[in-house]
Amino acid sequence: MAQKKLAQVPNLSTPADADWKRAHEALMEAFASARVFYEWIDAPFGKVFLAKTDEGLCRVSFRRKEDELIDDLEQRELLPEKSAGKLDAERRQFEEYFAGKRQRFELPVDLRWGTPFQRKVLKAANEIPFGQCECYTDIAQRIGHPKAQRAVGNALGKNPVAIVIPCHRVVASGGRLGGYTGGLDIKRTLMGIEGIPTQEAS
Amino acid sequence: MPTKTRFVDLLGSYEQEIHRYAFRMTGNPEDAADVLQDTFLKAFRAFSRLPADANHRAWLYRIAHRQALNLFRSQKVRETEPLEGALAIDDANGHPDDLAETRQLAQALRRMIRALTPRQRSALLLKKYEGLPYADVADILGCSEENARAQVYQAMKKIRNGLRRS
Repeated sequence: MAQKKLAQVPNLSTPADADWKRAHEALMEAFASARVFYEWIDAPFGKVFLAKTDEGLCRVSFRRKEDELIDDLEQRELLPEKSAGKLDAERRQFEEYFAGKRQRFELPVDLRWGTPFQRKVLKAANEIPFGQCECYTDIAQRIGHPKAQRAVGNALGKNPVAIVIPCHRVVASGGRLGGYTGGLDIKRTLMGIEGIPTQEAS
Repeated sequence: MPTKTRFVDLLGSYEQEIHRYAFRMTGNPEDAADVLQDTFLKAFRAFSRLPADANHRAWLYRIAHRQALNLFRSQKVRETEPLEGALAIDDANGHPDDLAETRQLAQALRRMIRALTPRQRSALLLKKYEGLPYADVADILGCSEENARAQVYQAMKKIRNGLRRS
């Protein structure tokens, strides 16, 4: 009798819902610092990719390939997830900025992957007010490395949170635009939004 | 081009299944939660080095199996007496007439499964309850397919003999 029943293998009980829920929550908590939420938002020049950890915004990118952007995040040992409304505050501030209704972003940023030098440069760039610009040499001087203008340019080129940290407000001396990782068209558009005159545009 | 498997997809697809396995392996919710957590944290760290065409399900079970064995090693006492409740048998669908009999059988079966070695228990759960092919069971246990078959066979034999005696 017992043998016959066993042939079908009796169903073992599954974990109670409460146990499963607790285990799931504990797992998500263990992953909390690795979770990153991403979303695409609209900009005057196309789509912009935003990503946010529990520390703050960690990526603002103009690149188009989602796969590559997610690969980048995974290489930082992050666990990217498509956001379900987790980036609403960020989206709203960007919309206001693009509409000319916001001069300053009020968002925590997560810069933990940069070098100390990069963070110093980004911090200096962040102090340039809306509608104004500075040269690479100004920044180099301000951070106490007056000859490091090329390194400053490189650090700005790696700005993980473009627009929010306004590296587009840094230009070459003599009024030339300088470079921009997202492309000079985007830099011109951003400067246009802020009413910064560009020699090349006039 | 097929879309790349992301770790978060693995979580979504297999988290509950691995938890169920961990629960039945360890026999209590606390240990099951630990095994689940250790499994996915380990998997997360190794994921980027995994070949794109890997068998993700078997890979996760392999880690979970190892984590369960580690746990048993670290708490030697539990090894031979887990599964209280975890291996209770669903008897909700049984005929009322059969119920007492089913309960008796369940109790006996629990006793038998408790007496299995962790490897036999794991093999039995993977093959008979999670429905994995022997090739995967072998891969997970880190043994040959013949050995995996033998583990399941031994497990079933122990249980049958035990039930016959009871």
